[in-house]
Amino acid sequence: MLKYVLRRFVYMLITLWVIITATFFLMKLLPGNPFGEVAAKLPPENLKLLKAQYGLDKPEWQQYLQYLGNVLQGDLGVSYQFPTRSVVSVIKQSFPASLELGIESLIIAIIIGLALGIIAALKHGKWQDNTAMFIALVGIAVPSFVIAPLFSLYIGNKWGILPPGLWEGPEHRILPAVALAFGTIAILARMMRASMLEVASLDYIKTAKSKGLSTSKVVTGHMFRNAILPVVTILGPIAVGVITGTLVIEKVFVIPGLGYQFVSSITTLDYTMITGLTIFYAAILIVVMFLTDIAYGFIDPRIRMSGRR
Amino acid sequence: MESISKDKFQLAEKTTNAETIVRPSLTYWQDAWRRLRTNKMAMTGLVILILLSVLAIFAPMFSKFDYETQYLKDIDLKPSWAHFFGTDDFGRDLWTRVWWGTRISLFIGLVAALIDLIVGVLYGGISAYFGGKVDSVMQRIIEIIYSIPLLLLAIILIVFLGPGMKSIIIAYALTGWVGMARLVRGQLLLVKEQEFVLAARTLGAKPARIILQHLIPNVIGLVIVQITFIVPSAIFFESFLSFIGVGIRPPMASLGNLINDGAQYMRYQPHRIIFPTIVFSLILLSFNVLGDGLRDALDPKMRK
Repeated sequence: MLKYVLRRFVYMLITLWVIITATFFLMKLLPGNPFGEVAAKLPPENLKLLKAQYGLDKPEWQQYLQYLGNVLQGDLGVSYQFPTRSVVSVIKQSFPASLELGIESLIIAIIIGLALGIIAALKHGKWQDNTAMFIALVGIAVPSFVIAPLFSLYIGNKWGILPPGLWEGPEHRILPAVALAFGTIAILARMMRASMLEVASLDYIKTAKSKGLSTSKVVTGHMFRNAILPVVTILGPIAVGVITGTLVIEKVFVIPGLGYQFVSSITTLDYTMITGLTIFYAAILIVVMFLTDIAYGFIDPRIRMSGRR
Repeated sequence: MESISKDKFQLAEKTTNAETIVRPSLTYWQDAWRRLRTNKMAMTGLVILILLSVLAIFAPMFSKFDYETQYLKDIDLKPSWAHFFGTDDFGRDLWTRVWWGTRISLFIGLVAALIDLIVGVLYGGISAYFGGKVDSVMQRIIEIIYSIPLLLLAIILIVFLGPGMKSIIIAYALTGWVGMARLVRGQLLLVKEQEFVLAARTLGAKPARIILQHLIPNVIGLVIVQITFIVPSAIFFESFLSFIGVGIRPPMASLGNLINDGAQYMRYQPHRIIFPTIVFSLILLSFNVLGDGLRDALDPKMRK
């Protein structure tokens, strides 16, 4: 087990390094000079001084090492558009809202998704099954960037049930979290249903039923525990999906989170902000993948024996 | 004992076909098609996809309008006989734009799938064929690429390379092939060790024959199923990028940027988001049900 964790950890570090390196070289690819229009009017000596101040007179490999060192120390640079704002301060300010949105949506998705999947499997072929699978299909076919504006317009504006945007009281949480959860609900429901149906045909379920256990006991004690295993294995990708989904949701509901910052930095071509936030997002996603990998290793010994999914 | 005259006997007819009792043997594809045809959902998906493709190809050709010309007298029209899907805020005909967008989106999906197919099958095939150290190194590389978040990589690539179809396809292709490569390698390793391959080898079959007759047919079903999932995911990918502002840029249309535009005007002109969303959802849904159906139809283990 320790060997497995160590190997995963090394992969995580390599992946992070690849991302940081990629962003560095992409920055170097940009045309023009990093000081913008003003620099063109400067006398050459001043430009030289300016470059020396930012370390741009050194050879590229030294710049690269310095960049790597800065990132490792948690210095992601300063915004290109607003030189008074550092990337890290923006993250500190806006990440909590995104994190909260993501966690709330994940909880909603897991509860509703698993419930739909279990109901569909227990009522296999009946109307409950069809309804649940219809909801799941809608969740797959209608993307969050359609569902979210629809929610905001109808539930928020036209019917006035819940606020159509912003991020203040608890009532502002419901619409964005549900809109974000929709796609995840669909995936979880489909997977849980298939998994439950598979488990239901196994011998130990027959044994449990024939020794007179009540349906609820069979479901909670035997079926659920075994059916949930394959579902756990996709929690990593699902978490990744939820985190990237926040980009859309925060834009639609005007939530002052990191996703909103990221999207607006893309529109204003704030290069340092984009790369800094990309590295931060990548680090989170990679850590989440790492943690879920370790989690499967604990839950299902077969995975850590073979070493790969 | 009475003698029986010879004319009471007749020679039995010689049949060349002694085993008529056996049903005609079906090829893998005939068998798969037969099973797919009974799957109503999958067939509906297939028909819808064919219909949408036909419309995407021909509707812009026979339309009186093109996707970019602006008719400033005809802005924000509701759907009518002149403009089936209405017009947008520049007076561009949405019927033409939606089908142009479908064309672009399908094109991106198909090209992405093609690249995934070529790179993934080659990479997975080589990895599985050589095995040993080659396989182990190639797998380590895959594990690293697999954990790079596709969307983030795509966003920074597109921001720095400039938006457009080429950047989107490159970004998708850079990381998308990994899934295919893993799938092909896994399946090949499984098949390679099975008895019928050993039997073929013992009977003296050459490597080329083993690859063509035994390995490829056993992998191709899975590959096709995977493609039916790659195409919609690439289409979704483009739309997502459009929504956050790095997708296909107007005046070129794509389903993603049409939906994005529509979302901004949905309050007063719902038709602007409804039509592209319907087409988009139908494509996603059809590919998904077709993929599910194909998986059941092509999986040899399901054969009874």
